[in-house]
Amino acid sequence: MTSGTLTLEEIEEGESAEILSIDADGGKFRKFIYMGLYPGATVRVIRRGPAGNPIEVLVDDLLRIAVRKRDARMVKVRKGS
Amino acid sequence: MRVAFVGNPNTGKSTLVSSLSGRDIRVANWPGTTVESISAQVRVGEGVLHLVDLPGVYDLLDDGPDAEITLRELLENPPDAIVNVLDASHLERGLHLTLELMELGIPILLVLNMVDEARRSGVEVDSGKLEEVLGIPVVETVAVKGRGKEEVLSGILRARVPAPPVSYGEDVELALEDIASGIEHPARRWLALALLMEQERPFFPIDDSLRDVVEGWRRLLSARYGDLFLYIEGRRISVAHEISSRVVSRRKRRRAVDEWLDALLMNPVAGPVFILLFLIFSFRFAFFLSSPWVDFINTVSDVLGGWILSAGIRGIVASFLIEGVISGVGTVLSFAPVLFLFYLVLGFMEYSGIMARMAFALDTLMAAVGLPGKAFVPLVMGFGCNVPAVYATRTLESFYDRLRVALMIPFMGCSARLPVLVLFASVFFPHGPVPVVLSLYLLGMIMAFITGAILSRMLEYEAPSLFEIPPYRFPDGGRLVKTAWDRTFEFLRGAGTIIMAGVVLVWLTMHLRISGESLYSIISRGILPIFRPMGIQDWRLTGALIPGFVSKEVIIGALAVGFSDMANHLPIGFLEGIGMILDAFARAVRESMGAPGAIFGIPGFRIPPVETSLGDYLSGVLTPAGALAYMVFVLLYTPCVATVAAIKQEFGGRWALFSVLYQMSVAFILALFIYKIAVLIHG
Ligand SMILES: Nc1nc2c(ncn2[C@@H]2O[C@H](COP(=O)(O)OP(=O)(O)OP(=O)(O)O)[C@@H](O)[C@H]2O)c(=O)[nH]1
Repeated sequence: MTSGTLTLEEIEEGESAEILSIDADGGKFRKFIYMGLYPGATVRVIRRGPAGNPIEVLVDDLLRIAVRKRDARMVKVRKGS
Repeated sequence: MRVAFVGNPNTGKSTLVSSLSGRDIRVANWPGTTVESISAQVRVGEGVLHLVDLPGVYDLLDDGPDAEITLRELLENPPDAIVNVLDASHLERGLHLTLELMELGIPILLVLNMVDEARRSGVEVDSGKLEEVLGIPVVETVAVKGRGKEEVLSGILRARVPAPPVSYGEDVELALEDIASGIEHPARRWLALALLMEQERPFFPIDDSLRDVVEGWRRLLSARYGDLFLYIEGRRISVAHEISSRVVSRRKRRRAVDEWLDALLMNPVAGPVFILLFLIFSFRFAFFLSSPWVDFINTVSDVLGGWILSAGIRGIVASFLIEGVISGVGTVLSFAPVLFLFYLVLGFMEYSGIMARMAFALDTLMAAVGLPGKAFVPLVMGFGCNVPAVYATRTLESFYDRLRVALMIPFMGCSARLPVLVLFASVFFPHGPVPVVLSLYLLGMIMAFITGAILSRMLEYEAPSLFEIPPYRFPDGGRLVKTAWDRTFEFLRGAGTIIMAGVVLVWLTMHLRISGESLYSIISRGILPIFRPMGIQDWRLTGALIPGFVSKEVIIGALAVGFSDMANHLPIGFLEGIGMILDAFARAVRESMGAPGAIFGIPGFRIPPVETSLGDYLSGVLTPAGALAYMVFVLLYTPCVATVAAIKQEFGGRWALFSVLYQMSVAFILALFIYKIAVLIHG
């Protein structure tokens, strides 16, 4: 199962993944949570902005959130859902 | 009975309180509107409810002043009931706070607001089931339309102290009980949790003997659970998630228009182009529509001045009334149309969902200076007028981002500086004035970005930059107008006195005489030596910079006629004055009608013919290199007094002062530098 661990940054457009963990502490961690990006959530990458930044993800089929590549690296995911 | 309204930012707390009490509480569509608690009263049957509107928070233990105000109020002055307002479209985010509030031992009512929005974007919340799961009353409302008011009032009376909603495991519960037994406060369970989370605040009602008990438990429990802060947060997160997955159902289908618009505006190539065009046209719209009204206000001031003269008032008194008081009030008021229209446009962009697309399209660009994509909007707005631009920084979430952008804004050459630059460029560079002016604007932009980059190094603030991309919605015109007016009024009230003071101060320098010489000329001559190295040798040039602090366009007037020349004010008869005002009004109406067409015109510099006397005078005292230095200095030297007032209102006096000093230094260094280079090249 851990063999499939990637970061959100590596997910291709149109692909879905499940969030496993978020490598951030305190306030940073919370910011992800407020935006619905918590461990267990399903994310689908919709599109990327100019020069690949930011990444638009659909969270749990509900919210559309833009995430910078830099921050997407903190989000550990597993492909599929 | 005191009732506190608590919830995430921008969930409609203030709107709800206003609609319940019938009292108008300032509501604006940006987070952080309520920065201190505001209260109102409402009669219910026999009793009176005191409604207290508290600042929006995500978590009572968040950093920052908002959370502190809310937490203090809840602990030091526990209300008889809490109304917890949630945005129905973001239930899970809101529930996180609800679970925390339920630990406070205060009766609580949950209000699901904005159910209209939620429904429109396909989210349905089963409030009956939510009531059952949480064990507290739940009411649905649409606060803007006043729907659900009665239910809220009766719900408040039904509210009871809830059972703790989250269980943290047997051993933690034991610890909580033990710690809580040492606290004399209704919120003892919440306080015990905060202590376990190592989140003490100076105003917690606990005594020192308790600290050892807490320390003992902390050691014991962290051996099992690791970081207790993360553990407790984590429990709340998973309970919030579980509850919301049980009560929220959603319709997946999105409207085709949304998909289509997104494909266009969020396209990596076409997106930024469309967004830029949209920004330019909407700001031009605001600008063209406001300028006839600014002219109208100026005419009214002229007429008032004329009346003063025809009433036989003369000399220093007339001058004070006309150039101090009337011109001061006129300056303040002339910002009203500009601000109002810019706010209208800003409100439209925010509310329609276009702002989020802008942030998306321009994120890469802004990331280069460590700012969120949204920061682009106030910066572009700065080209029109710096003042609304400073207020527009409120659309950014973090204080440091707001501050950084506000310090960058004065480098964006606003439209008031244009006439000055155009005048000098056409006198000294008659063969190519436009490229000269454009490169100066570019210089300003470059300085803005350098400033941003330096500040982001210094302030070293690295919050994750995440933002939501909401569905498109069509704004309700009436509400946009009201919000824009509220924001404008806030400016007039808050910044008006500072601007007045600035105008009067400048007036004083003109009229205070010290041993026969006006303060104005003393200062102008006094600062001249600093400017000599950049080829500025005439004290009238440095003098014109003083009134330029009020507004940069005044510089031309100051150079042309001498600022304190009363000759340009003529007595005006009463009827004649009325006629002029009516005329000006008719013209303003007519020109406003033409504005929508004008925005599509080519942005041209209509280079006005320069009065030959002024042109001759300028070319007599300045070389082209000196003129360039003067232009650079005028472009950058200080934010105008209204911008300073705006910065002070938003960030405090220190930062306003910093901004002035910083701009001065940059202006000075750059002007000198450019002068030297120009001299090197042209000899
Ligand atoms: N569609 C819709 N909009 C609403 C509703 N209630 C409030 N709003 C709008 O939401 C925005 C925010 O409302 P506020 O009352 O300022 O929110 P607040 O929670 O007091 O905000 P802070 O004081 O900043 O925490 C305003 O533009 C309101 O007009 C609602 O029920 N439906």
